[in-house]
Amino acid sequence: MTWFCLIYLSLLLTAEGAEPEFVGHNLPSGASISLYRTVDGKPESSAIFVRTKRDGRSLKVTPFYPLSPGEHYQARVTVDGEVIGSLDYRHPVQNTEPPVVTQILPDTDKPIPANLLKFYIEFDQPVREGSDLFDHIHLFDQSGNQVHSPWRRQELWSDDGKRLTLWIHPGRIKQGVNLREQLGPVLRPGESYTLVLDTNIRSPEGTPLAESVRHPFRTGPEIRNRIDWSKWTLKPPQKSDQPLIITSDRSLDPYLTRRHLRLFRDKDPVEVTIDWDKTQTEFTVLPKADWVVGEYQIEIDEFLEDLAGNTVLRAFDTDLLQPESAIASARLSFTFSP
Amino acid sequence: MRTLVFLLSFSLGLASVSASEVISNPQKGDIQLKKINVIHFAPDGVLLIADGSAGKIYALETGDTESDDGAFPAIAGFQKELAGRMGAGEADLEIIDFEVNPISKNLYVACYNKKTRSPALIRINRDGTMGPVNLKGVSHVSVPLPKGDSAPITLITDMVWIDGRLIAAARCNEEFASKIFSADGPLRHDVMGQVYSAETFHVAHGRWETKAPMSVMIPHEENGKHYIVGAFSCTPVVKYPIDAIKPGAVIKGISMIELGSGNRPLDMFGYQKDGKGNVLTNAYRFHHEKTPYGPSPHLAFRFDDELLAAGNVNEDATRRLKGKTPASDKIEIAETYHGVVKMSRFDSDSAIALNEAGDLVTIALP
Repeated sequence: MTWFCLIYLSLLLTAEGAEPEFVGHNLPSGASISLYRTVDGKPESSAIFVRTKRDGRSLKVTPFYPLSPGEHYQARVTVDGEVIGSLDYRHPVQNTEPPVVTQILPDTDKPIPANLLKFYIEFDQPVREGSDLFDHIHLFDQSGNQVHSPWRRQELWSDDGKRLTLWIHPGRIKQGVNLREQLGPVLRPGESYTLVLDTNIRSPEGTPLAESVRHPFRTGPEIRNRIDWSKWTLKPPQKSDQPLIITSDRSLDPYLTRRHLRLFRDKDPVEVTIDWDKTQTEFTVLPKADWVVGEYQIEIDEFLEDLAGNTVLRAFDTDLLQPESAIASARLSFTFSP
Repeated sequence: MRTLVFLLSFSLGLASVSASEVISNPQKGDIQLKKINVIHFAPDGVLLIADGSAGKIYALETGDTESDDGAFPAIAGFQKELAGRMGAGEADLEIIDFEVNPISKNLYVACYNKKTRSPALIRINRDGTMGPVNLKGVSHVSVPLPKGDSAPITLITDMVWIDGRLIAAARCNEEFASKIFSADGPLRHDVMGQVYSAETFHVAHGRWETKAPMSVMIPHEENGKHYIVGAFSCTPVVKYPIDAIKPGAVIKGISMIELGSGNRPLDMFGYQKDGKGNVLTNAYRFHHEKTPYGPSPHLAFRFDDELLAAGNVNEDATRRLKGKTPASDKIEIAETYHGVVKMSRFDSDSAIALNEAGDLVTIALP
């Protein structure tokens, strides 16, 4: 069948990076517009899910879900089963910058416990998610041999998609568990290791890390007892703009410390910012308002962990044959008196 | 000899429950998903959608409540077709979870476009057609999860509807601890439930006691008492009486079965066959290269549900293996489920499964 009326298909982009609208004009009744993802100009599957809006002899079609950056698409006008027009479109790539690893914790020259439970890996932008991510994060021992299956393959991302919590498989940390008994621990005390992120780690759009990232570290003895906060020391501020400095006898999880360490004055919570040093043993606590002369109290709860998952209430592995002593009831406090 | 008779059944919580007992005073509005962690059907076509990133569990009235008998079509190249229909390449699409609507038998698929970082919910109909689940201007309630306070939830790993309440296995990015989130039905818009630090202990060698986050869970009923049964990495199966899940309680699980180390559970459901209760759970065997249990790292275990009522618990829990030798004839590897990545029970005889090739297939229950 030949169409003598003027039919045309246009592409409407309301803003840079916005989802496109495909508009067919002067269409006969029964006309439809379908959208396809194409490879080498050919559709790869059935038509894409779209929303269609008809206005007289015009049809407006928008994709139901966001189109993928860098992919090719084709809109087709069909009448009575016959394709009478098409329009090709490539969805633009907005971000071509390679992701950059901004921090890996722990990040210290000092030995870290061999029963380390997790790393935090931070990027400057969200990276491509998916369970294959763990295939691109490697651990090598001091002989250059790759450690087999070290990770718990569950993606745990911060809300902004920039920080990955990378768990060493707990089954190889827990004592008495078959996995550790069969394969041994992932880390052994007194050795050197290198965590490596390879260049298959990419931005969501597909841009890889500019180069692989190597993060060397050393291990010390395992720590398998509770956090004893009576061993912490406090250095109170001497001036209103100085922080309180809390020094722990062991390295602590900094993000859990930031969440689970609280400051009070006369039972009123004090809003603070908490930072840490590279060893994650020294924490600076600075109130958002100035210090006020008088006594302050510090509380931590049962969720605060050290690097091996021990808390103030219990060790990561509790030895039922050797019950620990009663939990220290020390209540930390200090007085600000400049 | 002592004989114990247990009445066992897996409760789907589907009988004689109206939507009003699941949700109350639903809102008309948009559901703005950030991610989908897991989906699950509550009674009467109410779909629970967990979005830990948004800090919400949504209960959506799908209206998909027409029951229908008949088979579900096999769809070769399903993952590629689904990706294409979302405008994505196959490698860019991750299928997060899927669930059969127990009433209509349509399949609901939660997926994620890794390139656009956008989630989607797709319905696969019994005739093989598929389409997006509309989330605009829909009747739903939104149940907030604790966020930003001392015990936030950032991920839901599984959830069930049991005895008139929603129970979810939850965790936080930074903590290894297992959390259980509970909200009483009917669910109400913007009314938060309770979070419990389920100190889910795993006892090894009668000596070492550790905690662990739960991977999957199912409802379970035993002598009229309700339990949730959870499976963990490496792979203990643990049960909890739900009446223990209440404010101020320390929730301790009872280890009933050890399926073996090196496996991470992915899905689990119960079913009846030949007058006997069964549980099927599929898993990813991360030690497949070193110690394979079959042709694929994706495998499934079937066990008799009577093991969940056994007197042997914790250190004496029933073990699938003694050394490398099968130790119980009540636990087996389900050979026909090798290579199954996702699965959901379809009817009393079969499950719908996604295999490693990305095909959607129906497999008879073992």
